[in-house]
Amino acid sequence: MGSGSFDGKLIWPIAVLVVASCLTPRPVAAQKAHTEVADASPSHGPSAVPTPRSIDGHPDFTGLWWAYRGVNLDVEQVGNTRVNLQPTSRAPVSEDPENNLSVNTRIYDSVAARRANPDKPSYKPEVASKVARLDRLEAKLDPAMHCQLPGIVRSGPPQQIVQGPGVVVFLYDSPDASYDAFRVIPTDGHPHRTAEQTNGLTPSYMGDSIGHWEGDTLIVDTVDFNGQVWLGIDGWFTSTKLHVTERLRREGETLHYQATVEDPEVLTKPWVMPERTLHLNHTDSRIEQEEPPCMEMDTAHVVTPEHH
Amino acid sequence: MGLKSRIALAAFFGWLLVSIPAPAHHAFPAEFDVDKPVTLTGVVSRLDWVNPHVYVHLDVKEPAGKVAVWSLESWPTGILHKSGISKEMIKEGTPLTILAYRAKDGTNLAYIRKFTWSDGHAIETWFGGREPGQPPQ
Repeated sequence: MGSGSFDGKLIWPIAVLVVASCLTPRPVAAQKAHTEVADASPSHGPSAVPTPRSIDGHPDFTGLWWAYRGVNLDVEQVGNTRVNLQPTSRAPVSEDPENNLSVNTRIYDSVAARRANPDKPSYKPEVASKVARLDRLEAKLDPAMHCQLPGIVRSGPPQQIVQGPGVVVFLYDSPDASYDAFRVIPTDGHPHRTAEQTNGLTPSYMGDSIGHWEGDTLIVDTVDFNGQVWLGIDGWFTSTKLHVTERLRREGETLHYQATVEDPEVLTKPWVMPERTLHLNHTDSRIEQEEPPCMEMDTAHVVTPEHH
Repeated sequence: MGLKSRIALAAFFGWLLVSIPAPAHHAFPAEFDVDKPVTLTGVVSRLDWVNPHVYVHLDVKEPAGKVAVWSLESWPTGILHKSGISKEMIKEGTPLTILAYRAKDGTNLAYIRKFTWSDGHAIETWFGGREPGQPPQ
């Protein structure tokens, strides 16, 4: 529900203060919840921890990097009623809110503010009307609203990485538990596969990925998308020519993640997304992997075109 | 500032700050009308513990004795769990009173704001957005 956004970092401290004053005095339960969140937050200063290396000498990305456990709710007990309040911080425990620059996951206070963000793909004039139409009909046509995988880059950085010699596995856990996904990425020189080699499972939403190292940076190259992937909620469709390049670099307990989107069929130029920094999550041991199924039952009841 | 005002304000600013991003599924006003609250008392006839929304199907006895079946939508399973509501607490056969907002299409569908159990304890799961009576944002 609701879409929010903000432009400029100054709003953060102001809004946090307002929220804090709204909730003062806070019941013990709410204070405790905040203490736990604060305790779980990593230190965001420069990491003194050396970057671990795997046995093949490359930086080891293994770890839990972004555990978006839904939301951290505030709770008030009012008589017999437990009132769950919207949390006062959306940031997952292992990501800096200030670094949450991806247009898809950044916080907005209005649809208009999100649309004003210049960080967006540049569509060719001849497909502008299609983008506008999909945007208008998003509630009914957005694949991600119908239990389809969000694809890359909409899924954001992986929440957990498991690395071995010659292979890296990215694991994803969606905020609304509508999907669990993984990508097995060879880094041993294997080329992209053909549809014959994948037994017809490609093209797909998450595409076919291969990785290689440039110094200590892992480059992941992904192609073979199915043309059903949206890059964001505002009708940002893609073609089967979608090509995503992700760059990952680890410094101590910080992961730098950057993605570039190319789609010469529909975009005028590559969409170079801002780098995000993620912090190692020491709180959780793994992401969730088998959640209740995703079953879309709302579309038939959508009667007006509002969307987030 | 009264509790209600504090909750409303906190909800609003929380909404502003938090706003679950794209995966939050459909926008509430595309489907539901916050100015059409309904309070229903009945027995859970079926629970769909699925994502991205849990559905509680409630058999509600109408004054004439007829039973109306309501589909009552709520949050994803993970958020409900965080809100203090387990699958067991709303399983088939559970008597419940539910405050919800009706679907715009006029069907027996509504979005849950508050669950109240027969022992009187209640859990409210309303995370901001527009309060009833407030102008559209």
